[in-house]
Amino acid sequence: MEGAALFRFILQASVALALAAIASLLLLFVRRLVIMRIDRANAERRRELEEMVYGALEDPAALTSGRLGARDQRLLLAVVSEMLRGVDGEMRDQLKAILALHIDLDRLMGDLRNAIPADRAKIAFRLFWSDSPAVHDALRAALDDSEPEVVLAAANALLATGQSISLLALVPKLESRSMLGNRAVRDLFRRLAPDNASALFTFLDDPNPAVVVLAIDALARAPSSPALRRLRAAAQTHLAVDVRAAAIRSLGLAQDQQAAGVITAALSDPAWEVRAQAAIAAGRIGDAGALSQLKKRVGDANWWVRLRAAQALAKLGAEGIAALEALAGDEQLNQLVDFVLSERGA
Amino acid sequence: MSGARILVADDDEVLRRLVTHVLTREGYQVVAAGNGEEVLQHVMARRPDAIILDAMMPGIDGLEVLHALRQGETTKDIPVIMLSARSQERDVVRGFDFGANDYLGKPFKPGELLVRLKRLIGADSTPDRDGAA
Amino acid sequence: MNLTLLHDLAFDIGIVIAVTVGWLIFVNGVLLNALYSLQLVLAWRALRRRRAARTPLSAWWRFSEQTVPISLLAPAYNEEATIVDSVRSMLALNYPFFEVVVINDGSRDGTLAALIEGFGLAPVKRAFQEHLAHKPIIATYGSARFPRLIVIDKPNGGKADALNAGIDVAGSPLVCAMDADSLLESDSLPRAVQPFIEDFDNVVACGGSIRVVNGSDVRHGRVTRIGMPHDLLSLFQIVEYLRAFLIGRLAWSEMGAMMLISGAFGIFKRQVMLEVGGYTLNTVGEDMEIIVKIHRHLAETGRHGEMRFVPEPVCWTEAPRTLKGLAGQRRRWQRGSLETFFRHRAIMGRGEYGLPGTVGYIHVLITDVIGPPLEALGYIFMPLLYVVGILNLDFFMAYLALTFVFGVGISVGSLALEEIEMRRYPKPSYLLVLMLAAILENFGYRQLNTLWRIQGWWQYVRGHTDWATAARVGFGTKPKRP
Repeated sequence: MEGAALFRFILQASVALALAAIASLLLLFVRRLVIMRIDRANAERRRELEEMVYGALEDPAALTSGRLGARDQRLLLAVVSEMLRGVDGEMRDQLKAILALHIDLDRLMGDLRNAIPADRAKIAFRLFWSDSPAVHDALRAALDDSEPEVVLAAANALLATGQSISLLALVPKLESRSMLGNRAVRDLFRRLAPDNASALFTFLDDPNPAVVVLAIDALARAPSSPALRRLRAAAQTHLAVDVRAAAIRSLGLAQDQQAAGVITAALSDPAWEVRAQAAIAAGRIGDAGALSQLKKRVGDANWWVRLRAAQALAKLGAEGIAALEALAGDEQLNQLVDFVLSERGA
Repeated sequence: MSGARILVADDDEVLRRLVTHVLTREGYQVVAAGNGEEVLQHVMARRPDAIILDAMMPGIDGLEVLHALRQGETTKDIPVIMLSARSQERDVVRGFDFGANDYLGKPFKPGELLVRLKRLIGADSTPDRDGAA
Repeated sequence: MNLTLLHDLAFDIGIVIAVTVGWLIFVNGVLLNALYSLQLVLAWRALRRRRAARTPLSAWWRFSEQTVPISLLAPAYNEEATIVDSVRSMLALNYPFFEVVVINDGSRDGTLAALIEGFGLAPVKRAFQEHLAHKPIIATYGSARFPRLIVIDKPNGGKADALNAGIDVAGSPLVCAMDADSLLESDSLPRAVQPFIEDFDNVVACGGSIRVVNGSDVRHGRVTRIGMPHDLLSLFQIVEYLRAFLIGRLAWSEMGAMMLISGAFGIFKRQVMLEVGGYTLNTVGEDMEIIVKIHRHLAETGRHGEMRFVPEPVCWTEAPRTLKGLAGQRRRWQRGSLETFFRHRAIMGRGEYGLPGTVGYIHVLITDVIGPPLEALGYIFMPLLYVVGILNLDFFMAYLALTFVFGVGISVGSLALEEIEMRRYPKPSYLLVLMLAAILENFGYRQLNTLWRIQGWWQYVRGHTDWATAARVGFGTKPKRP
């Protein structure tokens, strides 16, 4: 009748949906079977290679067997590079000798350029032990890779080989791949800081707040008085909330007594992120001058600021504790205060 | 060859195997554990002569294990060497605070580990080296 | 002559009514399936976005050294055999700052003694204010060896009562309401607290996926190996839970209309719990009721608050293995849904209550309130209409497709999503087993479910009063609804 087309459509759509779902699940099943097969075979071969490596460590004469196939080379690199992360000294040299004998570095460097992204990152990640200038060049080239993961792996591997990297050159690459929020990038900055002090100062004026934040964090790891001066300025005047918060946090971590005034002022910053960090910092440097401001902050509109302010008071000695205990009578605040006091007791 | 019994605890399988290799080559008997719970179970079952303990393990971590060992009447004297990827000053100090007898950073030098271990468990239980390469 | 006319008229009216009911059933089926399809799409989108955002941007900057303290609330009633293992596994969770509050809800067995012995408990004084309604606390216990553990002893009052006592005693800004026999994943807290860390001001509650543990190995309160059960009933429930959480709950959360956070695991701001007066006592489905109550409270006080859901599994639960146990559970869930639905019906369709009042409420209306009777009616009515010739074949076939085939697509689709995004099942063959279950489920199991839900409806209609108290003895095998 009139609805016949509609009814048929519903029937067909239902059957099509069900069949499509079943077909895709079957495909996923097959995919999983294949992955499992490969994984199992690789794991088995890996174990054999591991035995071979341990055999060679016992008896270096056993090292003379010929070149391995491509898959075996990859697996061997995986096994030995993991061992190299844990061990140093004489055994490290032995392990490197094993790799030198069995791994075709030229091919590996080719793969570093041409393999699929996940493999490129893995290879870069596993080349950290090499002393070969050719490998270092290949890793440097990988800093231009289109995949962020490869760039990071290459940068870390280069660092581990003791090569210097210019942050000035690296940052635009990380920036263009929007990786600046990545935790691994922060660690990279920290590790590169000693060689790149002047670059870090340059970055303090970068238009991108994320770069400034990374520079502040790295500078604060080894605070110098010019660095602290810049941080104090940034904490007061920078337009970006994250930058002000990071600067305040770093001043607290550096226990910069000269920053006490800046930190107290930041307790009234319009952004709660900055106020919370200021409260933490005030507690860290133990500035009794911040007491009255902190008391005010325990009544802040933002929960985090309230918590951090109460915790900071608990660190300011008898006077701070007394202030906290006085606040405990407040119906709104007693839970928070109780919590902070019990935390202190624990 | 009845070498001293050493308990090796590390959640990283590769490292566990490495340390085990280094120790067995010197004639020690090695028991391996992959997490804090296993360490405590092993220690309860049979007291090892020394423990090589990773600081960071999932669940009960190395420091907690150490703390528990130092509380126990029968376990408080077991020599413990911490082996940790965290080797900054404060981490090392913390390890000793918790009662570690020694602290080594990763990557470790096998020779150094052996010397420190030998010094800890004393001459009487020095392993018999004849059976080893 | 007149009589035949009248007779014809009555016949015509009868046909009109029959056709109307037929259409009603049909339209309800179309609506339901459209809703499920929408959920499937929303869930997929959410899961893909989650993958893209694996390294969250600035969250760690602000809180890298800080996490929000949590109090785990574990009400226990007659759990002597398992309580020590359960609590041990809670104490071993990965989280920097939390406490475990075990509430012994007047157990008749040795639950309290087992706890005292297992953890070396001794009576302690703990100052707190009584904000919420619950039976008086008899004693509080603590342990020097386990400073994170607090045990409360109180007379039996049911789960809501026990949780209220726990909320009063809890010392953290966040509370995690759970069952003492929930088997938590060791990363459940960091996962479920993530939404609070990202947006503490706006998030008021967060839940996570619950999975069925039947067929898996459990040791010391932890799932050690994921396996498949051998009974169909458990398999059906595994599919049900997967679908409910991975698609249903995630989609609700995407739409901003979470209507339920499972009683087996849910994190709440303690402050909000205090504001709404805690759990409502003598409810069957206190886990759903509290959510609607919070939505309502926020809207009425003119505040914004979000409920979130993390698709990762946070805990595992034992599902009933017998028809009888399952029937009881489903009837109770149905009563719980109806109870909440009617208790808060004033907010239905009202714009000022936002999405929960509109989308959420309508969803509950068509799935829980009118859904089961209409579905049952359809099973009887539609074949009948077809046989007497009122409905044509096309209509009937479309009805059958909606009822039996579409659901297969949705269920199998959710399995595919789980395989693409989570991949928690270790063996490929499990996928096939679950797929078979997802197909078979539509022929028999679903109809049984409908039957139980109608029984639940009946129980609800017959007596608001008598079951409320009678059902309140224990809660060991209670809600954990999908």
